[in-house]
Amino acid sequence: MALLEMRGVEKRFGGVEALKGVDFALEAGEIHALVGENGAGKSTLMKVLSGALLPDAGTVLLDGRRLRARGVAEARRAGVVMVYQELTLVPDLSVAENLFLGRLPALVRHRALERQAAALLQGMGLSIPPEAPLRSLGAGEQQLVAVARAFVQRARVMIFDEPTATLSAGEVERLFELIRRLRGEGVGVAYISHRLEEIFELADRVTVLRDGERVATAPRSELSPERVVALMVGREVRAWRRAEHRPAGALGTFEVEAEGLASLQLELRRGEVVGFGGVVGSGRSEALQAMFGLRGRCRWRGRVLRGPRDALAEGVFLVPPDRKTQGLVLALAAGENVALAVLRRLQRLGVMVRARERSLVDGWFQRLSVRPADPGKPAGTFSGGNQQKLVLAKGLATAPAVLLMEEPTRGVDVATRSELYALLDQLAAGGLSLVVSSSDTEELSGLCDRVLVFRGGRVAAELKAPLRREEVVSHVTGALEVA
Amino acid sequence: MSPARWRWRDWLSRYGIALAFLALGSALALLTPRFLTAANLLNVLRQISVNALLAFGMTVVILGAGIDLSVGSVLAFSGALAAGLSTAGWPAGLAMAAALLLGGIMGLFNGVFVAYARIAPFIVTLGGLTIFRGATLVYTDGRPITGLPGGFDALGNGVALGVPVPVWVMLAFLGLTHFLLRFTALGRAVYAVGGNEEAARLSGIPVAGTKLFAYAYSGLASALGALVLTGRLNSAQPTAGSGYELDAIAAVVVGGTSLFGGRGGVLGTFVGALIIGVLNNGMNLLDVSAFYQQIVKGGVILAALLIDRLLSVRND
Amino acid sequence: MRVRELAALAAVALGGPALAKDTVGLSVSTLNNPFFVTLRDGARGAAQKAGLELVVLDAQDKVDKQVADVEDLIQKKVKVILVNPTDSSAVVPAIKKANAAGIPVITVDRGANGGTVAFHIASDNVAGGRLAGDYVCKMLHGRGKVVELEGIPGSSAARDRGKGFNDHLAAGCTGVAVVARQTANFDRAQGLTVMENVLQAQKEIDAVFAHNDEMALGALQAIKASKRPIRVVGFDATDDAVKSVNACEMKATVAQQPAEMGRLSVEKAAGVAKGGKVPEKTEFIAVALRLVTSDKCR
Repeated sequence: MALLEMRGVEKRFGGVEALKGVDFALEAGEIHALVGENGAGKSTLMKVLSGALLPDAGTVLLDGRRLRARGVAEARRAGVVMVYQELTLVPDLSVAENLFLGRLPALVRHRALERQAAALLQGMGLSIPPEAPLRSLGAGEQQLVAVARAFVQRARVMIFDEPTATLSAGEVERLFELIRRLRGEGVGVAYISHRLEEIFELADRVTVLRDGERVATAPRSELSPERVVALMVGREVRAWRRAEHRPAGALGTFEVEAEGLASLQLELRRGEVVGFGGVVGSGRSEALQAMFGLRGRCRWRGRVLRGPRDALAEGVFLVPPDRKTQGLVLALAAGENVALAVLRRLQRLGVMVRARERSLVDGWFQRLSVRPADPGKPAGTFSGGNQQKLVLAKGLATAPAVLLMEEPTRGVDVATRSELYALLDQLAAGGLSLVVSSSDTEELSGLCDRVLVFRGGRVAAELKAPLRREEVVSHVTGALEVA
Repeated sequence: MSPARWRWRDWLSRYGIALAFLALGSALALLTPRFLTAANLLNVLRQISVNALLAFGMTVVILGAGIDLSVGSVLAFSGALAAGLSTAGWPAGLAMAAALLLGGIMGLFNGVFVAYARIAPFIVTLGGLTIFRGATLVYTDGRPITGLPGGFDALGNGVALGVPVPVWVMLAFLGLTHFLLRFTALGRAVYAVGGNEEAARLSGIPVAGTKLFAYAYSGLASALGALVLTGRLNSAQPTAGSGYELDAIAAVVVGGTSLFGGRGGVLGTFVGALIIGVLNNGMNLLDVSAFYQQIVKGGVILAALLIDRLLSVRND
Repeated sequence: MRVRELAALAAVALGGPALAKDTVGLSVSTLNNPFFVTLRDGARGAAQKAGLELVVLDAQDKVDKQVADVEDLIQKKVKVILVNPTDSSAVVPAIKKANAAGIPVITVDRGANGGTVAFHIASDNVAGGRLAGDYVCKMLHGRGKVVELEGIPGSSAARDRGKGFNDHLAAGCTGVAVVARQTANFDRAQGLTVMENVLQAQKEIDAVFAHNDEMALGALQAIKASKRPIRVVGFDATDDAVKSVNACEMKATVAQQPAEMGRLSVEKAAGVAKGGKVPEKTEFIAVALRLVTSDKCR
């Protein structure tokens, strides 16, 4: 009997089916990796397991008994623990107190506690002082403390979701040692990662998810990186096909210097679409932010961009990844959002020229077919896809030469997504240069003329058209390094 | 939610506070015949003028997701300066202009700390509250300044076209503020910065400059309030305006402007100031005991906010 | 720190020839207020007459400084300590220390909420209210309608002044009726608005009694604007109010007599210092109040 079994788990968010009846099993003393592209359902599945989400259908069995956890705390009591970095630790308490948090006696005797903690940490090969306040540790060490806590709590099942994104190479090694030690103690470990080399180093078994379904479960020995990539990508059914057009002459060069980023020179041509690929923490978003003057130093066509105002003046606009917190002022009318970046052009002696504003807004509403076609409604009342159109309209209203976009279709429904792709393609054909940073490899391979793949803060590969999705996935996940 | 239902809710949440005001007015009209007379209504308008002026400035700051606790002290210092310069022989008009300038400068002082040093507005203006009050005490030596030239009396107690001058001042400033917020690029920037500072910044809005403007405008509004109050009392008091920040904030909030910024407007604030003014007036007319007045006032403010919250459950 | 105060502290610290006379200490809440400066001057005069050395310390309205001041006086072993408390509760520990050191304590103007106090010397606010009531009654020839502007609800000054005023009208002047009674919190701006509202509500008003001059001056402003013939009586005799009375605008204001208060305090202290009896329970010495009016107005 398996330690843990999930049967036919379904979960739906609004109109999107995130999990379509997924099975997943975990043996005691096994490291079981979950792989799949963004949106395949890995994290959703693990959130169901950890009690953070309630499934719409399906069962979870622990030791053959049905587990009905309403909330993370209940699952934790049953022995199922998800390791988050910050959420479950208290920065102002000491390492020792954090280790025994929730199991502390009413009267804490610090000496005894610290002695116990020291023994525990030493046993795990960790040289972390137990009396140190947690906040004095680095992010990596904090995560190791979170893992060590699982030993104290005698977890049966531990879940890791992209645990290495913020760790240094040395810390990754120690983390892996700890995870293997957990396996030795008979704990079942579920491990999510985008980095195939980690999976091939660590996992006993691999399950591949795609579009909310399980496409394969196999022992690692029976899998090759190429095979995993092929399973992740599957057979492509694309709703949208890129029009043929060739980028024209040179437009300018971005010269970027930022902390944690190797210096980057990006030459753009008119009408070119450049993709930034890479996992979280690879440096692709940092590079994009620097190009808008938000961090580090950036020169564009020889001019230094000190902030968004400089960038806008030089014809560079950024569509940020989160439209709700960065892209839009939700309480303002949709039309007012569209006009936000060009207020200066819509005024005379400080007074807004209403007619000019209306014609601008109406023009973009029509061009992008924003629904509902009512610019007076607050931006917050629009759907995700239409909010993204509003952000885009705001940027296009500035008549930019370069449009930087981060995760331009995140959380956008399929129909609107292909609409957006067609629009971006049309804009590029009209001579607008685009830089698209995305975790969606289909987006990168389908939309771009070339893709820069980031790893550890530097451009690890440059892929040129014609782009194959498998190729992009292989580079992003590091499958090539495993082979 | 169906569109029709959405409109209905929208309409109520926009005009609910005006309805509440009308209900309160009707109740008072039934309770005392003295309430609904032209003389008394003008009287109420004149009485709310100082608080309304402060609240109009406060509205701009709060819309920008800030707060200005220093308005009462700014009022005291500006009023003292106007009175002091006049008694020292300056022409009344010039003394008033100097006071307005001083108010704007005190606002800028707050704004610099908020916008550039990025200190929480609550803390900055709390500092302003005590600093400007202290400056007032130093300037006046703790004594009221009396013996003002006629210009002040005309501003505070004069009547033009049958309407008290302070009411004209209030309405003019209401119009100016409304125009500024709704019809200028600067006003749009205030809403954007208050609604989502990050989005505003990424759209190239000069965030720091916008905040600076909001606080300076509030300082100017307080100074204008100071001139009216000084005129009405025909003297400047060193303790004038203490606690006025709370009445101003109450008017703003009752008027439907969100304390988190980005939502609301100055017309609502005017209604908010009216509600508070009518309440004070009504309780005086009905000769309600002092002990009960405070309870009623707090209760009505809470009730107004509760109704507003119930009507606008759907925030976004 | 000012020179005068340094000198006083030095006198406390050094003692010396001053010990030839009996020494009495006076801890004043603040000398930033003319009222207490006058009180001190009255006390000085009385001390000279009685042949006492008087040490005056200014607490600058800070409760902690006052406690330290009283401790200094205890160290100096003065014969009697006169305290004009900055705060009725915060002063109690200081008074208990003086009690423990066996030094009699006299409170001036403001009382203390604890400790053993021999005498409490203060204006009689109830009598002041009565004085105002009597004046209003005579001014209206025993018949008329009056508005009362009250001080901060629950404050002792508001309570006592109102009680004296209303008791007097109820007892000896039933022809004068209080038609409205509203608080304006001792504040001039509120005195103005509340009076404006009352003017709307009441068609007939003959006089206003305000619990302090600030409210009276605010009410006067409202009355001037309304052009109605209403007479205003205040309380405290502040400079502004006395000016207003002399300009025939306000009718009268009730004056406390700080010099008299200082004089009485030192006289009581002298009695104790010269071996007089210390009362077991605090004895209240009321300082008379005086009505300020102007003869030239008619």
